[in-house]
Amino acid sequence: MYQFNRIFKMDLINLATNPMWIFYSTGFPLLLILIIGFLTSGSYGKEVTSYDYYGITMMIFTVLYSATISANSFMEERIKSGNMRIIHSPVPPFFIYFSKILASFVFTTICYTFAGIVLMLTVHVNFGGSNGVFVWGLLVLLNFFSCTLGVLMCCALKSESTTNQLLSMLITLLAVLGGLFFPLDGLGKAIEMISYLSPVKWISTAIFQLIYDQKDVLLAPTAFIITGLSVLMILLSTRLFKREDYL
Amino acid sequence: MISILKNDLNRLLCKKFRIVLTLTLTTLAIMAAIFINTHVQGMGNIALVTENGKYDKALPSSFNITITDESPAFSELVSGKYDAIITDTNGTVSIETIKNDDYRTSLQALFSGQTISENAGSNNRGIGTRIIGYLMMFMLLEGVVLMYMFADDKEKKQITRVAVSPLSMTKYLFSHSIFTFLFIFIPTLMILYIVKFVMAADIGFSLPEYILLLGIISAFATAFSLFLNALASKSETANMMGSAIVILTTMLSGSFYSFEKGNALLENIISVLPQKAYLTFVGGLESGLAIQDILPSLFYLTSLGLIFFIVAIVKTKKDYVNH
Repeated sequence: MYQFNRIFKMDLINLATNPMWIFYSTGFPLLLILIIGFLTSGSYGKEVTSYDYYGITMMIFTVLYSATISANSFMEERIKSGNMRIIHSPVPPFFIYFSKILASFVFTTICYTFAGIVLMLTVHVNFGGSNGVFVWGLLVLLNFFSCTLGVLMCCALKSESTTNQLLSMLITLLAVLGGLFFPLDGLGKAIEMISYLSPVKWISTAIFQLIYDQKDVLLAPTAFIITGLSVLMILLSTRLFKREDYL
Repeated sequence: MISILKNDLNRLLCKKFRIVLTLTLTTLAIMAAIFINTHVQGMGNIALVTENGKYDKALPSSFNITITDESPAFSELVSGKYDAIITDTNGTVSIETIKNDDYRTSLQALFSGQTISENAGSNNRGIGTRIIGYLMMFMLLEGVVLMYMFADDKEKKQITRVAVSPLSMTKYLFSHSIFTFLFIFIPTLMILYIVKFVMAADIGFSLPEYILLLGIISAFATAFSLFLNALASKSETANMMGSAIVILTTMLSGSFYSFEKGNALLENIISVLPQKAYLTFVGGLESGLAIQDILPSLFYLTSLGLIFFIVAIVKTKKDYVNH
């Protein structure tokens, strides 16, 4: 455990001292939500503002983007050489990538929570009042899933830049399909069906139901599926992670 | 120059997965644009709630109205499934909507029997502009991705060898640019026409027009990503910065849907965005504006692209040739 703690701590410090990552996980969501919210505020009324919509959807979007951060914390050139040394030391290889998942998870959760609080205080995004805890919990679970996804992709593709490019395109596609950038539900039955193909849609529906209908029917299944998938991803990473790849 | 193009091609072919992915995403974007365009209708979706699920008065034709006897959940308003929920209890109409007051007022007027002009609030964008708006983000992202070979050369210091070779730096950068340009332009155009024939859809512009329009944005995407990669020292930074900038500015420029009633200052900022100029040009061409009205946007776009290109060359030369 001591060994794991040391690796984890170092990974966390590596993330937290990189200004790029700090910007990406606080500045980017804030800017995105504030700008889009401000631009679309004209077409929304007073009861539910554009910030309420984009605050939630863009938060989901940035949480998905954690995958690129975990991929980076795992296979960035600078860190690869460190990983190389760990491989040679008497430490289980599991520690290498699991500590990356955990470190990027902790780092991004803190950053996003901070961004969320800022949004709540400045533009009064409705995160669900007393149900806010569940909304936060769901987003945190999703964040963990994203982090495992990033690391799994790295293990599978063996290159950080391919992973990043693939992930950012995939995430954008899922986000558009899931109606994060603009609501798709109003475009007819067929589009609605297609948008349910995107897991993102399930999450945003679950969250909107929690906030606006006080209904939690989707909460437990969604949380369960996300957790299950995360565990699956970690298991897959274990299978795919090969120490020789670092040579 | 030819050898650089060949080399780039070989390097790209090593990443077959990436090519397949890009092509798939482009296809999906075009299909989405065509599909959404043929399905968007009127002023919005309305759930009309009556006591027995029936409504015997005449319905306004510009809305897509669902009549039910049970009120939909409020979250369906937020998620955009319905733009308004109208409850009719014995002729008394109450409206629930999260849209702005104008929308509420016109609904109120319509459902209490008055007539209003039904065009208010509808989107007048043509199919061609919409397709290009959807494609633009992907094409700009592709540019950022494809320029990785130049970034790779820089990161792995290959470029210092190029600098001492007889090949001039301008030619070297130009070759990379041609390669990137072709690989954004040709697949997109091909996919567009394949989708057109498969879906038998109307895509707004003719082939020469598409060649011109997609050519412009491909060239701009190339210049932008060359500029970005020349400034950034690491390919990763260029890639992440690039995608963040592209996503933010493309959305701001209204490629997916145009923003209404923004604030004046922000509108000024947006009007500076090259994507906005491009969309103005495309939209103007489609709606048949006079050529002198749309030429300034085109001029702005091309000069910005040229500036990006020149700055990239100057900066790279400064970094690697004369030092």
